[in-house]
Amino acid sequence: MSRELNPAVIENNIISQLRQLSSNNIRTSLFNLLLFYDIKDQGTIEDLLSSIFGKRPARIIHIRNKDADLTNAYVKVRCHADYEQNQVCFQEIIIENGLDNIGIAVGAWLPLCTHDIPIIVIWLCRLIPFEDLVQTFYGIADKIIFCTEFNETKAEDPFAVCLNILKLILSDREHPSHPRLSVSDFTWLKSLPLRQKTAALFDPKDMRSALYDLNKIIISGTRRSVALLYFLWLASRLDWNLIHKDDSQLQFHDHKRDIITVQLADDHRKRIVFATKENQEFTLSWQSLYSSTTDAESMGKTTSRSRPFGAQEQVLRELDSPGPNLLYYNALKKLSLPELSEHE
Amino acid sequence: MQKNPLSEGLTAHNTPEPFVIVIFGASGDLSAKKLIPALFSLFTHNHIIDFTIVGFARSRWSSSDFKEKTAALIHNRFGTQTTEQETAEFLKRIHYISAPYDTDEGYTLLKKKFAAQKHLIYYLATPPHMYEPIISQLGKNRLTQSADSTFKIVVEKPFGHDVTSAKLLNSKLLSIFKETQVYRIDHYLGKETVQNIIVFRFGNGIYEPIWNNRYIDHVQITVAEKAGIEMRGSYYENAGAIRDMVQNHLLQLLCMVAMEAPNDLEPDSIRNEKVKVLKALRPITVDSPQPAVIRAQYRAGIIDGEKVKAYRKEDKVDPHSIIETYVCMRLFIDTWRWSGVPFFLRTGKRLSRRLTEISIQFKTPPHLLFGQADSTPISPNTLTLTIQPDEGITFRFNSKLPGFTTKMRAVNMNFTYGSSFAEKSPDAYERLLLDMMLNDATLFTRNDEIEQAWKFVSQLISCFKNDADKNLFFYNAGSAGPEEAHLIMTPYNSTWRKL
Repeated sequence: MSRELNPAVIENNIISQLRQLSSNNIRTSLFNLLLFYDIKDQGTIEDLLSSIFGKRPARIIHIRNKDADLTNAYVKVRCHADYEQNQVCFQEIIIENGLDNIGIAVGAWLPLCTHDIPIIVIWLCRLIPFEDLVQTFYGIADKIIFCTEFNETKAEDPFAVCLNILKLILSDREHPSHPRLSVSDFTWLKSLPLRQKTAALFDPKDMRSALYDLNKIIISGTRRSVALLYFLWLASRLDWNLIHKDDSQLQFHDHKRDIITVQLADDHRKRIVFATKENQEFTLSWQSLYSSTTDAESMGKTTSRSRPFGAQEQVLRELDSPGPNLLYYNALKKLSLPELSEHE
Repeated sequence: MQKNPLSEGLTAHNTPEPFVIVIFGASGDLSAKKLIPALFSLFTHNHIIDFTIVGFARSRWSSSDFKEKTAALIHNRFGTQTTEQETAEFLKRIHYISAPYDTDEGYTLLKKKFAAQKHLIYYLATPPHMYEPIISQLGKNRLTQSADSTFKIVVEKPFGHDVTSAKLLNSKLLSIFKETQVYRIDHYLGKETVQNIIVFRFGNGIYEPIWNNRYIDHVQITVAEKAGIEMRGSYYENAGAIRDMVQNHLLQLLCMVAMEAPNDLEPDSIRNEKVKVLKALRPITVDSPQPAVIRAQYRAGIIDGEKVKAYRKEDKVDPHSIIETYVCMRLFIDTWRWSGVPFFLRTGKRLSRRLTEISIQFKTPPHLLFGQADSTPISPNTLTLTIQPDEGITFRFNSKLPGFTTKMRAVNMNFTYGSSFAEKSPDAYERLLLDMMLNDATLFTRNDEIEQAWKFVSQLISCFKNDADKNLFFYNAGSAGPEEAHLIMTPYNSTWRKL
């Protein structure tokens, strides 16, 4: 074994750095956080970690792909003052995976995880080859978090990414002998304000019937991945089934087998327009996904109430929720076109 | 009409409907120290969005004065944690009515300006003797009835002075409001660690099987304060530690520890179980085995290196006062689960440290294999739930000392909130205010709970009615309480936990 990846050496280095940096007390780590990413995305990872700095002590293992021949590793301890000015320390192990691919091997990072606390994986790499990933985490990790929106920025099709995630969830269910792997997606949480705003729009009793009369929804001012998860959520809640997909739109059957068309418009206006079979139109618009004001033009009414949900709060919330989110799973299941039904 | 299918899974992010909160006693301490900061914090964290705060008090302030004082308060309390813009936005939502509580004047204005609002909340943060006139005026001015609006009233402790006054206040409230509109606040229940008692007991499988008289020797509940009575001399002279602390905080903690598992987390399911505990409390009467209660009062002493005066020298206190500032007692809960298990409760002011904890002491093993050789008694297992400060849970057990003998020593296994979740819990008032706004009464006290607690406490106080002076002991400020406190424990071969 490479001396750099020797767990005993790494543990000693962490302890000695902790002693130098945190004189008050050494806290218990709540979980292991495994971060898989490419070195050029280091900034994204730092943004993400900033949401738990000073809030959740954790052991963090970075496994990042680097364009070098050999894998190397080093440790880093970062301490941040909490609300009582006590130190909350991150024990970080950085494995720079070289072209030898030693760093990404399970035998390299698993012994470095603190024993008997949850392992949470954040996967910010391309999703291919997907099968290897599945085999690596089954039975080892407690939770894996993807970010479809991140993959979209890497030119991966959100529909294909979500379908792969669905396959992971369904394959996991074929292995009842190992503990279940919870799967989630930061983008699902990002769609939460849209879902909240929509639920609030249709909450008044006189608006409720319009929900079952929709025939077209156009969303704009958001990414495809966010729009896709939003539409899948609507489909799962309203019992629609996907019947057609092309580059510009999705089509669903509602329970009466009437067609509902949903589209992401190439338009910077942040809004969702709902049209019904009776030619009524309702519009939700917002300044920012996390803003507290929403304008809903519906039957002459305007409402402006919604609980904003900050991006950092999303990350923390995801790390604090160990179990599967059935709402999300049910939404993903709506991806199944008739020709994909063997995955159901 | 079927329910909204889109709302499932989104409920955790509820924000209250737009509301107006009228704070009676807005110029007082409670408003400045707790209510306004809690509302501001809820606002800056986006838990409340559309709201109006109306301060109502006798102080001759204008709305501008109230805004100015609120701005200063926010600045002092939140400093750099907030922005000028946030403060300005908050201040826009503030109004003030200066008027007596017992005449129509202020209520007419209130009605004119705010009665058309859909959700009105009245918060009684006044001295308790003003509750009744305010409730009457709200009723008389029809500020509690409208087909288009909903109303709630929040009542601060002390809720009555004894069982009779509590019943009177309840009946006054319930003549104007329905029980579902009344929120009796005990801020102890808003503390994260108090709520954690229920999670700890019923969210873990290992404790309930041993949470009974087969395994538990006794329970100690301590609420110790370093502070004195501060500026509350005249109130405290009529209350004392039993009314001020036992009737509410200590009995609430006792209920949390002793209650049976509720069927669900609905407010009434939990409150029903708490009432059952209060009903099962064995009354302490003059005929109870003595001593069952020790009352004491602090003398002068030293706290944090500073001299502090005796209770009898405090402002607005009778120099011959026989009011207790410390009380400890032994209680029994006559149920199948707790039969024969003593519950020891103590609370006091000007003690050596501030500490709130519940300690469950388990029975020692039936056959002592260890600890006899050198007559060292075996240390019992203890599970301690610390409410404040340093919220956490400690389990004490015995471990072998390293070496060639089988000597044992008690060691602690610790969980502290701060170490695991390095995040500040919301203030108790923030939690309770938000719950109330969202119509969740779980952490509020119901009328029958209050009356049962007063029934027990009134009976207890009546034991001292005739010879309160003879039954009063003394302790030095800064100490752990009166020497005589051990008399409660001695018959049970136990000692109080160290403060």
